[in-house]
Amino acid sequence: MKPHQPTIIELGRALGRLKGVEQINILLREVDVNTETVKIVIEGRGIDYDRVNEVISHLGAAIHSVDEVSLKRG
Amino acid sequence: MPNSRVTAWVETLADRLRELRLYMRAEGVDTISRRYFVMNAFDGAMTILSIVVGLHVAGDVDPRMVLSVGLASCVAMGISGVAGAFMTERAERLRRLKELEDSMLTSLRNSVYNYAFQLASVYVALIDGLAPIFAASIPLSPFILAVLGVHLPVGEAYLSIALNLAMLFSLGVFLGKVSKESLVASGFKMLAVGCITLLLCAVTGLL
Repeated sequence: MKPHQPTIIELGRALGRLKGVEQINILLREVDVNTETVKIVIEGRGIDYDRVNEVISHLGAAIHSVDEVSLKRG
Repeated sequence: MPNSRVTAWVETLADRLRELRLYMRAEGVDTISRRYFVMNAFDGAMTILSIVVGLHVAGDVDPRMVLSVGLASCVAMGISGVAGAFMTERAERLRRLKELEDSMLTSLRNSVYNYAFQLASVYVALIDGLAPIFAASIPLSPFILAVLGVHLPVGEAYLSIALNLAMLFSLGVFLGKVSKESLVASGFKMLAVGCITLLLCAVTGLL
Protein backbone atom coordinates (compact mmCIF):
# COMPACT_ATOMS: atom_id res chain seq x y z
CA MET A 1 0.00 0.00 0.00
CA LYS A 2 1.27 3.45 -0.81
CA PRO A 3 0.14 7.09 -0.77
CA HIS A 4 -0.62 8.57 -4.22
CA GLN A 5 2.94 9.88 -4.30
CA PRO A 6 5.36 8.48 -5.37
CA THR A 7 3.80 7.29 -8.61
CA ILE A 8 4.38 3.67 -9.61
CA ILE A 9 6.96 4.95 -12.12
CA GLU A 10 9.03 6.62 -9.38
CA LEU A 11 8.58 3.65 -7.09
CA GLY A 12 9.78 1.34 -9.87
CA ARG A 13 12.74 3.59 -10.58
CA ALA A 14 13.78 3.63 -6.90
CA LEU A 15 13.52 -0.17 -6.63
CA GLY A 16 15.31 -0.60 -9.93
CA ARG A 17 18.41 1.06 -8.46
CA LEU A 18 18.79 -1.76 -5.93
CA LYS A 19 21.59 -4.28 -6.36
CA GLY A 20 20.59 -7.48 -8.09
CA VAL A 21 17.25 -6.26 -9.39
CA GLU A 22 16.78 -7.21 -13.04
CA GLN A 23 13.09 -6.72 -13.63
CA ILE A 24 10.24 -4.97 -11.86
CA ASN A 25 6.55 -5.21 -12.56
CA ILE A 26 4.16 -2.91 -10.70
CA LEU A 27 0.43 -3.27 -11.09
CA LEU A 28 -2.11 -0.81 -9.67
CA ARG A 29 -4.83 -2.86 -7.98
CA GLU A 30 -6.95 -0.37 -6.04
CA VAL A 31 -7.24 3.40 -5.61
CA ASP A 32 -8.54 5.00 -2.41
CA VAL A 33 -8.86 8.65 -1.28
CA ASN A 34 -5.37 8.78 0.21
CA THR A 35 -3.80 5.50 -0.83
CA GLU A 36 -3.23 3.05 -3.62
CA THR A 37 -2.75 -0.71 -3.41
CA VAL A 38 -0.14 -2.00 -5.82
CA LYS A 39 1.29 -5.41 -6.58
CA ILE A 40 5.06 -5.36 -7.08
CA VAL A 41 6.92 -8.25 -8.67
CA ILE A 42 10.70 -7.97 -8.40
CA GLU A 43 12.97 -10.36 -10.26
CA GLY A 44 16.73 -10.62 -10.06
CA ARG A 45 19.70 -12.29 -8.42
CA GLY A 46 20.57 -11.95 -4.75
CA ILE A 47 17.90 -9.37 -3.96
CA ASP A 48 18.20 -8.10 -0.40
CA TYR A 49 14.65 -8.07 1.03
CA ASP A 50 15.63 -5.68 3.84
CA ARG A 51 16.88 -3.14 1.32
CA VAL A 52 13.65 -3.49 -0.69
CA ASN A 53 11.64 -2.92 2.48
CA GLU A 54 13.83 0.07 3.37
CA VAL A 55 13.29 1.76 -0.03
CA ILE A 56 9.55 1.12 0.10
CA SER A 57 9.25 2.49 3.66
CA HIS A 58 11.42 5.49 2.81
CA LEU A 59 8.98 6.41 0.04
CA GLY A 60 6.08 6.29 2.48
CA ALA A 61 4.73 2.95 1.29
CA ALA A 62 4.36 -0.29 3.25
CA ILE A 63 4.57 -3.98 2.40
CA HIS A 64 1.35 -5.62 3.54
CA SER A 65 2.15 -9.09 2.36
CA VAL A 66 4.73 -11.17 0.51
CA ASP A 67 2.65 -13.59 -1.50
CA GLU A 68 5.22 -15.53 -3.48
CA VAL A 69 8.93 -16.25 -3.25
CA SER A 70 10.75 -18.06 -6.00
CA LEU A 71 14.30 -19.30 -5.57
CA LYS A 72 16.56 -21.10 -8.02
CA ARG A 73 19.88 -22.70 -7.27
CA GLY A 74 22.26 -21.86 -10.12
CA MET B 1 37.89 12.59 -1.16
CA PRO B 2 38.18 10.98 -4.63
CA ASN B 3 36.25 12.59 -7.46
CA SER B 4 33.95 9.60 -7.96
CA ARG B 5 32.84 9.75 -4.33
CA VAL B 6 32.14 13.49 -4.61
CA THR B 7 30.12 12.88 -7.79
CA ALA B 8 28.16 10.08 -6.09
CA TRP B 9 27.50 12.30 -3.08
CA VAL B 10 26.32 15.19 -5.28
CA GLU B 11 24.07 12.81 -7.25
CA THR B 12 22.54 11.43 -4.04
CA LEU B 13 21.94 14.94 -2.74
CA ALA B 14 20.37 15.99 -6.06
CA ASP B 15 18.15 12.87 -5.98
CA ARG B 16 17.02 13.62 -2.42
CA LEU B 17 16.25 17.26 -3.27
CA ARG B 18 14.33 16.21 -6.39
CA GLU B 19 12.39 13.73 -4.28
CA LEU B 20 11.55 16.32 -1.62
CA ARG B 21 10.53 18.82 -4.29
CA LEU B 22 8.24 16.24 -5.88
CA TYR B 23 6.49 15.49 -2.59
CA MET B 24 6.17 19.17 -1.75
CA ARG B 25 4.59 19.85 -5.14
CA ALA B 26 2.28 16.87 -4.75
CA GLU B 27 1.10 18.23 -1.41
CA GLY B 28 0.36 21.67 -2.88
CA VAL B 29 3.20 23.54 -1.17
CA ASP B 30 3.91 25.53 -4.35
CA THR B 31 0.35 26.85 -4.47
CA ILE B 32 0.33 27.77 -0.80
CA SER B 33 3.69 29.56 -0.95
CA ARG B 34 2.60 31.45 -4.07
CA ARG B 35 -0.51 32.63 -2.24
CA TYR B 36 1.52 33.64 0.82
CA PHE B 37 4.05 35.44 -1.38
CA VAL B 38 1.45 37.64 -3.09
CA MET B 39 -0.52 38.33 0.10
CA ASN B 40 2.52 39.32 2.11
CA ALA B 41 4.28 41.21 -0.66
CA PHE B 42 1.04 43.19 -0.95
CA ASP B 43 1.12 43.85 2.81
CA GLY B 44 4.74 44.99 2.62
CA ALA B 45 4.09 47.34 -0.30
CA MET B 46 0.98 48.82 1.34
CA THR B 47 2.77 49.39 4.65
CA ILE B 48 5.55 51.37 2.99
CA LEU B 49 3.02 53.26 0.85
CA SER B 50 1.12 54.33 3.96
CA ILE B 51 4.31 55.40 5.77
CA VAL B 52 5.59 57.44 2.80
CA VAL B 53 2.23 59.07 1.99
CA GLY B 54 1.48 59.75 5.65
CA LEU B 55 4.83 61.43 6.29
CA HIS B 56 4.72 63.30 2.97
CA VAL B 57 1.27 64.74 3.72
CA ALA B 58 2.44 65.67 7.22
CA GLY B 59 5.27 67.54 5.44
CA ASP B 60 8.17 65.68 6.97
CA VAL B 61 9.85 63.25 4.59
CA ASP B 62 13.22 62.88 6.21
CA PRO B 63 14.84 59.94 4.31
CA ARG B 64 16.54 58.69 7.46
CA MET B 65 13.23 58.65 9.35
CA VAL B 66 11.33 56.91 6.52
CA LEU B 67 14.11 54.36 6.23
CA SER B 68 14.18 53.77 9.96
CA VAL B 69 10.39 53.33 10.24
CA GLY B 70 10.28 51.32 7.00
CA LEU B 71 13.06 48.92 8.02
CA ALA B 72 11.57 48.44 11.48
CA SER B 73 8.25 47.58 9.81
CA CYS B 74 10.07 45.15 7.51
CA VAL B 75 11.65 43.37 10.46
CA ALA B 76 8.30 43.16 12.26
CA MET B 77 6.48 41.91 9.15
CA GLY B 78 9.28 39.42 8.47
CA ILE B 79 9.22 37.97 11.99
CA SER B 80 5.44 37.90 12.02
CA GLY B 81 5.44 36.16 8.63
CA VAL B 82 8.06 33.55 9.51
CA ALA B 83 6.66 32.69 12.94
CA GLY B 84 2.98 32.77 11.94
CA ALA B 85 3.43 30.77 8.74
CA PHE B 86 5.74 28.21 10.36
CA MET B 87 3.34 27.45 13.21
CA THR B 88 0.28 27.36 10.94
CA GLU B 89 1.94 25.30 8.25
CA ARG B 90 3.48 22.86 10.74
CA ALA B 91 0.06 22.25 12.31
CA GLU B 92 -1.52 21.65 8.89
CA ARG B 93 1.29 19.34 7.76
CA LEU B 94 1.20 17.32 10.99
CA ARG B 95 -2.53 16.88 10.56
CA ARG B 96 -2.04 15.71 6.97
CA LEU B 97 0.75 13.31 8.04
CA LYS B 98 -1.50 11.78 10.69
CA GLU B 99 -4.32 11.48 8.16
CA LEU B 100 -1.99 9.65 5.76
CA GLU B 101 -0.68 7.44 8.58
CA ASP B 102 -4.25 6.50 9.49
CA SER B 103 -4.95 5.55 5.88
CA MET B 104 -1.67 3.66 5.51
CA LEU B 105 -2.00 1.94 8.91
CA THR B 106 1.72 2.57 9.45
CA SER B 107 4.05 5.25 10.74
CA LEU B 108 5.50 7.64 8.16
CA ARG B 109 7.92 9.32 10.61
CA ASN B 110 10.98 7.85 8.88
CA SER B 111 9.69 8.34 5.36
CA VAL B 112 10.39 11.07 2.86
CA TYR B 113 6.89 12.40 3.63
CA ASN B 114 7.96 13.49 7.11
CA TYR B 115 11.09 15.26 5.79
CA ALA B 116 9.12 16.87 2.96
CA PHE B 117 6.47 18.12 5.38
CA GLN B 118 9.10 19.56 7.74
CA LEU B 119 10.86 21.24 4.84
CA ALA B 120 7.52 22.54 3.56
CA SER B 121 6.87 24.36 6.85
CA VAL B 122 10.29 26.04 6.74
CA TYR B 123 9.98 26.85 3.02
CA VAL B 124 6.53 28.43 3.36
CA ALA B 125 7.64 30.33 6.49
CA LEU B 126 10.64 31.78 4.64
CA ILE B 127 8.51 32.81 1.66
CA ASP B 128 6.00 34.36 4.02
CA GLY B 129 8.67 36.25 5.94
CA LEU B 130 10.78 37.36 3.00
CA ALA B 131 7.92 38.48 0.73
CA PRO B 132 7.06 41.67 2.68
CA ILE B 133 10.77 42.48 3.12
CA PHE B 134 11.33 42.10 -0.63
CA ALA B 135 8.22 44.15 -1.44
CA ALA B 136 9.14 46.86 1.05
CA SER B 137 12.78 47.11 -0.04
CA ILE B 138 11.85 48.31 -3.55
CA PRO B 139 9.87 51.44 -2.53
CA LEU B 140 12.41 52.05 0.23
CA SER B 141 15.31 52.05 -2.24
CA PRO B 142 15.08 55.82 -3.10
CA PHE B 143 15.42 56.58 0.62
CA ILE B 144 18.38 54.21 0.92
CA LEU B 145 20.05 56.04 -1.98
CA ALA B 146 19.24 59.43 -0.42
CA VAL B 147 20.78 58.38 2.90
CA LEU B 148 23.86 57.16 1.01
CA GLY B 149 24.14 60.65 -0.51
CA VAL B 150 23.05 59.77 -4.06
CA HIS B 151 21.30 62.72 -5.69
CA LEU B 152 17.99 61.74 -7.31
CA PRO B 153 16.35 63.82 -10.09
CA VAL B 154 12.88 63.37 -8.54
CA GLY B 155 11.88 63.65 -4.88
CA GLU B 156 12.40 60.38 -2.97
CA ALA B 157 8.76 60.26 -1.85
CA TYR B 158 7.43 60.55 -5.41
CA LEU B 159 9.91 58.00 -6.72
CA SER B 160 9.04 55.64 -3.87
CA ILE B 161 5.30 55.94 -4.57
CA ALA B 162 5.90 55.36 -8.31
CA LEU B 163 8.02 52.26 -7.57
CA ASN B 164 5.39 51.03 -5.15
CA LEU B 165 2.58 51.38 -7.67
CA ALA B 166 4.75 49.73 -10.35
CA MET B 167 5.33 46.82 -8.01
CA LEU B 168 1.63 46.51 -7.21
CA PHE B 169 1.00 46.42 -10.97
CA SER B 170 3.62 43.65 -11.31
CA LEU B 171 1.97 41.66 -8.51
CA GLY B 172 -1.33 42.01 -10.38
CA VAL B 173 0.34 40.78 -13.57
CA PHE B 174 1.72 37.82 -11.64
CA LEU B 175 -1.76 37.02 -10.31
CA GLY B 176 -3.13 37.35 -13.85
CA LYS B 177 -0.58 34.79 -14.95
CA VAL B 178 -1.63 32.46 -12.13
CA SER B 179 -5.35 32.79 -12.94
CA LYS B 180 -4.66 32.78 -16.71
CA GLU B 181 -6.66 36.00 -17.08
CA SER B 182 -5.67 39.20 -18.86
CA LEU B 183 -2.32 40.23 -17.40
CA VAL B 184 -2.88 43.96 -18.02
CA ALA B 185 -6.42 43.94 -16.55
CA SER B 186 -5.19 42.09 -13.47
CA GLY B 187 -2.26 44.51 -13.14
CA PHE B 188 -4.60 47.51 -13.35
CA LYS B 189 -6.93 46.04 -10.72
CA MET B 190 -4.03 45.82 -8.26
CA LEU B 191 -2.90 49.31 -9.30
CA ALA B 192 -6.42 50.63 -8.61
CA VAL B 193 -6.28 49.16 -5.08
CA GLY B 194 -2.92 50.91 -4.62
CA CYS B 195 -4.30 54.25 -5.86
CA ILE B 196 -7.35 54.02 -3.57
CA THR B 197 -5.06 53.24 -0.62
CA LEU B 198 -2.85 56.18 -1.62
CA LEU B 199 -5.83 58.56 -1.62
CA LEU B 200 -7.21 57.23 1.66
CA CYS B 201 -3.79 57.50 3.33
CA ALA B 202 -3.42 61.08 2.02
CA VAL B 203 -6.87 62.07 3.32
CA THR B 204 -6.24 60.37 6.67
CA GLY B 205 -2.87 62.09 6.90
CA LEU B 206 -4.53 65.49 6.42
CA LEU B 207 -6.94 64.96 9.31
